[in-house]
Amino acid sequence: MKKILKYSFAIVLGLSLCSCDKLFDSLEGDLTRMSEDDITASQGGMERLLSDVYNTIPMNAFNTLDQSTMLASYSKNNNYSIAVTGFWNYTKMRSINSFIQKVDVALEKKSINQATHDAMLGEALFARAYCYFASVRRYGGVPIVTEPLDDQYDGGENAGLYIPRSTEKETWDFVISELDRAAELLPEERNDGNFRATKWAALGLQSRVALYAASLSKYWSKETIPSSYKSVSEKLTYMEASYADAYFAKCIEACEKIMNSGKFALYGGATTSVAKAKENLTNLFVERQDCEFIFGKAFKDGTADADNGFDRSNSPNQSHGTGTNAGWGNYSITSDLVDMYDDYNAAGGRADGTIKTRNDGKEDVYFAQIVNAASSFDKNADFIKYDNPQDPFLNKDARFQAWVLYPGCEFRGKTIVAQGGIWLDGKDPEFYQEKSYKVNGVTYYELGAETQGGMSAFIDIGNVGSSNHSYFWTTCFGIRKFLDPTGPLDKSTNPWCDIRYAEVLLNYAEAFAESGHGNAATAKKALNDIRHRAAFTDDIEPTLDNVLHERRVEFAFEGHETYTLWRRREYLSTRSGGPYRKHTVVPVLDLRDGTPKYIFPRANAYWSDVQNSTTGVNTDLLDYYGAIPNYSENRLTVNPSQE
Amino acid sequence: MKKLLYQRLLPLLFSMLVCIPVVFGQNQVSVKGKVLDQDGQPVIGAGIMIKGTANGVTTDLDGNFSFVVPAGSVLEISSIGYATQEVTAAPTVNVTLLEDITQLEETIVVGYGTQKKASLTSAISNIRSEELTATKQSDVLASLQGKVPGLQIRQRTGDAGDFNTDLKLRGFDEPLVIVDGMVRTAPRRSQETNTSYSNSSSAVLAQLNPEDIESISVLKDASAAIYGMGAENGVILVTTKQGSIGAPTVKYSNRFSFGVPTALPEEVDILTWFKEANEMNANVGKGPMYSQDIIDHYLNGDEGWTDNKWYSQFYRKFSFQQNHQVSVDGGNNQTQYYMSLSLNTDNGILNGPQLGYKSISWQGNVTSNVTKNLKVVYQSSLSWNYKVGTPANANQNFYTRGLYSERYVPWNVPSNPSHWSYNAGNESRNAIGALNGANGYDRTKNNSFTNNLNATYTVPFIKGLKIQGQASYDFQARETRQLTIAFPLYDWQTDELVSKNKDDNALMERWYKRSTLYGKLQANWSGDFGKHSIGAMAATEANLQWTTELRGERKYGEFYTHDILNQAVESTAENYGTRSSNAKAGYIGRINYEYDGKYLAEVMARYDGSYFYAPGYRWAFLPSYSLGWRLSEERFFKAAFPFITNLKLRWSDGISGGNQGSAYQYLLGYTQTGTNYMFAENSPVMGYSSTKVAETILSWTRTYMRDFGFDWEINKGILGGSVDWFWREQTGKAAKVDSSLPDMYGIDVPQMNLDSTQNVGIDLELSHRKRFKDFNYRVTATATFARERDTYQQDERTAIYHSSQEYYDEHTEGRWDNALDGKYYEWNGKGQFKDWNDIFDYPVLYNTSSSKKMNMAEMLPGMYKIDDYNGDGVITKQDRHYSWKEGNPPLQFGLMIFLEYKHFDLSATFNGAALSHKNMQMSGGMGYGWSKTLFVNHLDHYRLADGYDDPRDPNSVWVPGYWPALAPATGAEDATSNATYRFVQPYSWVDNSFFRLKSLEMGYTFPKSVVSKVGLKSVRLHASATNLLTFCNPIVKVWDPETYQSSRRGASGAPLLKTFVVGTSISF
Repeated sequence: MKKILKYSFAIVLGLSLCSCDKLFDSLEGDLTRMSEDDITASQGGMERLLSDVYNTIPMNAFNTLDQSTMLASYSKNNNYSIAVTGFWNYTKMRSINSFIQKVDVALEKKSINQATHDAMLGEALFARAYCYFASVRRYGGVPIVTEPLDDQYDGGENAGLYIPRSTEKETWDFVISELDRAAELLPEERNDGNFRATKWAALGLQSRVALYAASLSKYWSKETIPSSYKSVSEKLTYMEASYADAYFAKCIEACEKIMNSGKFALYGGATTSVAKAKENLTNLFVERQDCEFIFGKAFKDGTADADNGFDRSNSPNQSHGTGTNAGWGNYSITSDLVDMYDDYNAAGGRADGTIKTRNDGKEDVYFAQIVNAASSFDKNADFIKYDNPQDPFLNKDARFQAWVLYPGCEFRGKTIVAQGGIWLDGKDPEFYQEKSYKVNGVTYYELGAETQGGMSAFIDIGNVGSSNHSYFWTTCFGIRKFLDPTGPLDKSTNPWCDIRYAEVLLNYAEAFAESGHGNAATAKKALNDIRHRAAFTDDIEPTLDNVLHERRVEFAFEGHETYTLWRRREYLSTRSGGPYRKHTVVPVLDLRDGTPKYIFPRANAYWSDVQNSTTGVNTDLLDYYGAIPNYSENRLTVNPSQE
Repeated sequence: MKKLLYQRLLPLLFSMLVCIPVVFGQNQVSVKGKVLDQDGQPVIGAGIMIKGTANGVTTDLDGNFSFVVPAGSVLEISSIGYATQEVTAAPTVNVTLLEDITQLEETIVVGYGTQKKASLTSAISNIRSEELTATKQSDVLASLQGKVPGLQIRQRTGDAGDFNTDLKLRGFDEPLVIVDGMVRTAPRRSQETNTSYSNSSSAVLAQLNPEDIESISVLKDASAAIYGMGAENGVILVTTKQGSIGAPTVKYSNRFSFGVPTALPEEVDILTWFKEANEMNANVGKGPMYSQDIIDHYLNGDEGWTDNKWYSQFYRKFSFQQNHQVSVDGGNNQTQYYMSLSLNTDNGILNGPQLGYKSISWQGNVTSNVTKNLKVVYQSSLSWNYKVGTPANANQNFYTRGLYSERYVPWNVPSNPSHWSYNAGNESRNAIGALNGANGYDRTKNNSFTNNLNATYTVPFIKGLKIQGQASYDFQARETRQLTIAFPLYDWQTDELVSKNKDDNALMERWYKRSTLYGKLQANWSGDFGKHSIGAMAATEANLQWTTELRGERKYGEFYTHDILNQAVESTAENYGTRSSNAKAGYIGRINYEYDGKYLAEVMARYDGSYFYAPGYRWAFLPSYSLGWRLSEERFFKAAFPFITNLKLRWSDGISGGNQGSAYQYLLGYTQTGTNYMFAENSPVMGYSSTKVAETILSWTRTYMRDFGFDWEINKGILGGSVDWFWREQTGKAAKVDSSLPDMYGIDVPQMNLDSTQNVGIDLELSHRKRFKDFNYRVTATATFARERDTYQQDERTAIYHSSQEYYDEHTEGRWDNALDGKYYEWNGKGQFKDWNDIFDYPVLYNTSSSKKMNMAEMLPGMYKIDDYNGDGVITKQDRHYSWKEGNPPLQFGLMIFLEYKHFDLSATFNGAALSHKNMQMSGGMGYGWSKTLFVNHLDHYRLADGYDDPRDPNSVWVPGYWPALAPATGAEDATSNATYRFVQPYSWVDNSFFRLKSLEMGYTFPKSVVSKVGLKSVRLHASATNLLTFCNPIVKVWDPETYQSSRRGASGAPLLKTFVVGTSISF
């Protein structure tokens, strides 16, 4: 009532005595908005802006997970991905640039102290470098904008807004030098987990960037993209071998700083127990392990948007059961990756890990993955008959056991069932049907279990129209890395580890193997420390092959593999292009002898890959550089694929 | 200028307050008299007033009155429906009132005043109480349908208490609704997003009681501009009833209404369904959907195997609605009052025992002549309404889920009827259980309280000057409580617990309140100088509004206890709250000039301000003018056409303003991004980012409105009508000139007032009335045709088109609304495929991405050939033609017939629409595909002559039907299946013209001589029906042409109802 009286009075007063706008100015105004003054008046306000800066970072947190290289079902028909994640968002860039200005304003107003100012500035530079890194790996040289361009807007020609692309090398150098600046400004320690950038995060990122730039320089191909292309002649998409050395050296330098700081170590350390190694490697991704966690993103805060959704989307169908959240086993891992994981030899050293499926050793023969038993299946092949479905995998690298679900393994109190067929005596083998057969009074199920709730793979293979299709693996392997074996299925709050110490070690080893910079002993130790954590007892040499092999198995699903192939210019010719197919082994219950045995014929993972040509898959090497968005409005030189 | 106005008004206001009325002694004379009508019957309750004062009496039951008045007074004798007469006071005054046929002298409400109908220069339609209530509808909106040219009303669903009806004027958006001088809106719920309410003007009309209305004026052209902001779509002025002088008249009326759906598709019996379903699968090479085992149960008549028509079970046999209303009306010279109370209940057509709607409303109006010159009116209304529905998530897929349910599974476990069965359809819920409240509820209470205080002071020392002040306060509160229960589902045969309904147990409470304060000061002056009449009005007003909303939610986990938040799990609590306020203000002026009743002119202007925009852009000056020429008053015209009693030409032209965008866009600042970043675990920090840029240059839209019309009448109303051509251009709609700036700038350019849209159309009204002694009738027909097009599109002006085809596809500027948007292009059909050979021979591809062989394998006989318009051999969007969209149809018409014979009366209202289409695609709810039922109207489909033939064999013989051969529509999941293109087949997009008997009412009024013997003033009985007859395309008729079909299911929202009503009105 008081309010009414007050406003009645205000109306009369406002209308009759004062200027008309008084009425509008007397309102509470926009309660959803903060003014610049409010924001810069306190550290809390600046942190709100900083939150937006962090959210701008194009981090791969639980997103792409190397789907284009390791996920079998990601290859069907035209769904091949031929791009790496890029960044072209100058609106967000403007936010960061604007924040960099506001940090100074806040310092002037004494809302923050000098140390906070430096740290925040460092964080902004780190975030901006991260964004430009994502830009340059996708587009080559891009326009570098380092401040809000308000002064350049004149409503007329606006010439100052049309910032041209920098050369590719300039862009790489910009990212690297900005990270130097950031490393100077950022603190060495964060006492609340490294979810905000530190000096080490900046250096860790710098080692990644420098290695990327070095590889690009080394593997740049003048034959594929000659200087007849405008962007090449302007060096917007151009690197050359002579640049490489300095970048490798920069990578080594950044890694050394971190390694010499004594602040980081591999979680769990060396062990000779495979079981212990498996436990360490599981925990590494379920909780934040400070010794290895250089930079990452948290998901734990108890509210809905904190969930990373990983367990819900990627737990095998058997964990879900029927009922709530039925069926979300989305990630089908290829046998190509599984073959990469080494076995242990008797002494605990390295042995070839290729899955042994045949007595004749012909492990390069693949059958079409067939809906109806088809002609390409060689019934006379000499398959190894295993007693249990898990037998071929038991001697593999602890990392495989910790990070991949396979037939017969234990998970969340269940034995994973991933069986794709049955072979009865005197009959043709049969695949992918929900059928059962009685042999000698015992009922056997073609897919390993009576109901769909009891199995994790091979339902509705080939029936792309079925919704079940996406709930079951199309191979016999599923993702286990990042899954929390005891946490709730519907809410996953484990952090994303974006830069971990293992990467620094392998960056060092790779830069060494590529360039000879650095120290051979350090490189060897870096490489083998990682293997020793996985219970390997031997030491191997830091050759390029060994390093790349180790990268692939150590960082599986963490988003590194795609970029490794991309920077080494191997991506289009190997992993996703026409000649390359994704494979699996299909566990088949072999009842030909009367006693149940398991054979593991190798097959193309996606049946339609065999039927269809690779129509729509562009393997043109020009595609290593993505198309420049809105090039005509932006008045930018186009990339080769656009010419 | 603003200050000047106040400098003049304020002293007047103060003088008004301190003014002490003075009564002068005069000679008195006693007057007795009788008032009769043309038939010699007494007129009860006629008012006899001393002209120029507020003093008067009313006639009694015999039409007699007596009265002491100053000698030489002029008495004004008036009664509703009769022409007012003036006589000089004499000892005996006997008057015969003539029925007011021409109505030209009638005074009607216009913006900020009243005007004689004859003097109007604008397109203003007026509906009086009698016309409005000629058909007893439950609300004002329904009562208006078909009665006002230009007013387009379309009921969307038949859900009780949702008020989900579209109201448009001349094809523009919703007009403003002003009740007793104040802009009002009320909550409206759209069925599809159950919990979201929007404030709408149509809902105000939908909740008003027609009996409380004195008159409604519809301002359709520039005359609406006087209301400033928001008036660009026209204005509807509602005036509630005032008390009249005389002994109290009590009126009681009731109506009882029974409703059945106007249309509801009929489900086939279960054996037919099994057969059709298996045929559907066979057509695409799949095994049978139903095994012979199941079919045999029915063939053998096995116990427990029943035909469960889930879809039909949704609806009651009939809905029941009742309405009671009591009003008291009366007063003396000093004070008059009108009070009414009404009660309404409606259980709706959905078959849930707890569902329904109730409302109680109160209207009280008091008029008091405080002094000789000061009249005060207080009007107040209270209304309370309560709706019980199903919770939102249940409602959204309600109809779909019913359609997905297996017919052979009963909704209860037969051996234990208290258990709901598990139906393993596409969705594992039990829709009937949800309908019966097992799933929880959604209960919403709306309260509204409105107050108007209006004082009019007739300034004694300046002739013709009146000063008026108004203060209004509205309060609206809404409480929603929504409980969602996860209820157990049991196997229908074994009664074992199978699973729970998918929802969590959860509770949500939402409180919303809004208060509005309005003040106005106004001065009206009028004077006659010989043949010149001049009127002037000046006013100022301001409106303030505050809104607050608070919402809390919690979940219960497995165990539901009670429906209060504290009983649910604390850690799941979530809460939300918002608050906002807004204001607008305006200064208004108007001058009318009339010469000799022939030449009319009006000039008006409004200076209107809104809080939306930056200082300097808030205020808009909105002038308009109108001219009129009463040709029929010219001497030469009268001589030449004596039978034309009225012919008036009108022209109006003006500017109105509209708000756009969201408020405060001009403020630079930072807003929440909605995304947290965690600086540490368990410490989320909400991100803030800067708003794009100050949008200081955006301001109001300007709407130019023009109207040319003429009104005519022959022989005092035997035939009459009006024609209006209207044109409206809304300019300055927000748009950006963005394509010229590079990405590197990182911000959008600000929005500016750039785009414009034009509406053009025509309104027609034709009326005829006649009286033969006891037989009296009138017929009114109305029609409106309105179209819209964009006349300026900034982004199209700067866009680069790479081909003429692209230009054709994307350039909409200048095109009328049937082609405004790509959506409203449709393919044309070229007849059906007769058989497989016909399919394979058709030289056109339906899908570029697959081979001819795969492509045509997606077809089935009976599907329509699509015309390859550009002849390129492939069906693409370039092959489409313009089409009328679904939506508010551009052509709407109405017909009202009213007959009276002695004590009987009959009225009928027809309404209709044309030039719109309806999407009747067949997947899901339409019976083909996902649903587990088929409607009888789809039985007429292509089928194999011999059911045992191979459907894929080119030699198989097909029996033709209207619909294609059945095929499961899995389109949403599989883009290459045959179902995808069926969404746009020609038979999916059918003509939706209709004409319907909206209402028909018969009444009998007992003769006054009879009812007066038992002490009553009048008694009327009536029986009526709504939506009784509909003429339309038979394909649409199955669903009703008036409802929307916005989702692709064909079954969203409750059906419209055909109602049968009986009722009584008694007054004493």
